[in-house]
Order: sequence, then C-alpha cells, then structure tokens
Amino acid sequence: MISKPAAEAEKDQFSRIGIACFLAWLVPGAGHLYLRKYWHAAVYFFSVTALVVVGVLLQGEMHSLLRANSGEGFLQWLAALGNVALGGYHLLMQALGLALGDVTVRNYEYGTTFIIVAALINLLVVLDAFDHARGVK
Amino acid sequence: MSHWGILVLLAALVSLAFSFLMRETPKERLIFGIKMFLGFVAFTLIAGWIAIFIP
Repeated sequence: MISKPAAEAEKDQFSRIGIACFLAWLVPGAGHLYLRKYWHAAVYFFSVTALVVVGVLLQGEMHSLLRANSGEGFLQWLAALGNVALGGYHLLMQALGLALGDVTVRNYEYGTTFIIVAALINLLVVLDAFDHARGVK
Repeated sequence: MSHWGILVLLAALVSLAFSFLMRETPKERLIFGIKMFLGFVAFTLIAGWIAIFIP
C-alpha cells in the first residue's frame, strides 16, 4: 500500500508531467521553461518559431484537420495530422488565415516542408519535456 | 530566397534543435550539430548531382 505522502508526491509528479507536455505543445519551449531548462526552452522556441515564420513567408501551406482541404488525399491527411503537433501556432495560423499556401509560387513546396518539419520537431520537443519532467534526462 | 539559402537555413535550424534533443553536454552538442549540418548539406549536394543522371 502506498503511504499518503508518497501518493501525493506521485500525484504532483503526474500533474507536473501533464503541465510540461501541454505547455510544450502549446508554445515551443514553454514546457522546458516550466521545468526551468532555460537554454532548452530558448533553443526550441527559436528553432521551431523560425521554421514556421520562414514557412509562412515562403507561402507554404499548413495542411490542417480544421480546414476543408485536409481530406484531399491520404498524404495531405497525414500532413494535417502531423501539423496538430504545432499546437498554439497551428491554432493561431488557423485563426489568422495564415499559411493557406499558393501552389503557383516557386517556393510553395519549400514553405510547406518548413511548416511540417517545425511540427515534427515540436512533437519531439514535447517528448523531450516528458522525459525531463519524469527525471529520465 | 535561393534554393541554396533555403537548404542552409533548414539544415541549420534542424541541426540546432536536434543537437539539444540528442546530446547532453555543450561540447557534444556542438560536435553533433556541426556533423548533422554538414551531413544535411553534403547529402543534398550528392543527391542533386546524382539526380542529373536520372532522366
């Protein structure tokens, strides 16, 4: 049987992991900021944000499950599923109508790649925050 | 932005993120980041040259 303080400590640890992962998903690096890993937070925020900004500037497309065009094909659906990992940026771009993509622009494919790569890196950042919160790293 | 500039930018940003994800000490991160960046650029150049011979 787990003693009361041990059960509370386990509950605290569980909520700490949950908060860190949610913040990391919402804003890149925020989970690490919560865990007081300041350098990690700065690097992840800078790299993911820069990838997203460059992707938008290159007129790439953010495939999204919230947009009607996400069901065009299996690959588009996979890209939309991956982009869920962008968290707050995903919702922000959806709300502002950014990253709609223009296939006639020369850099469209590059921009789309930047946005998808940013999403997948943010997914790894969430997993990294999970490991740090558990004390594995 | 040129194709070359986009390649270098993508390689630099991804290498930076992965160096912190995959390594623990500053020295290890620096070495890993440089290796990954050069690997990205070199592989793309080699693949680009090979693509010339593909009809």
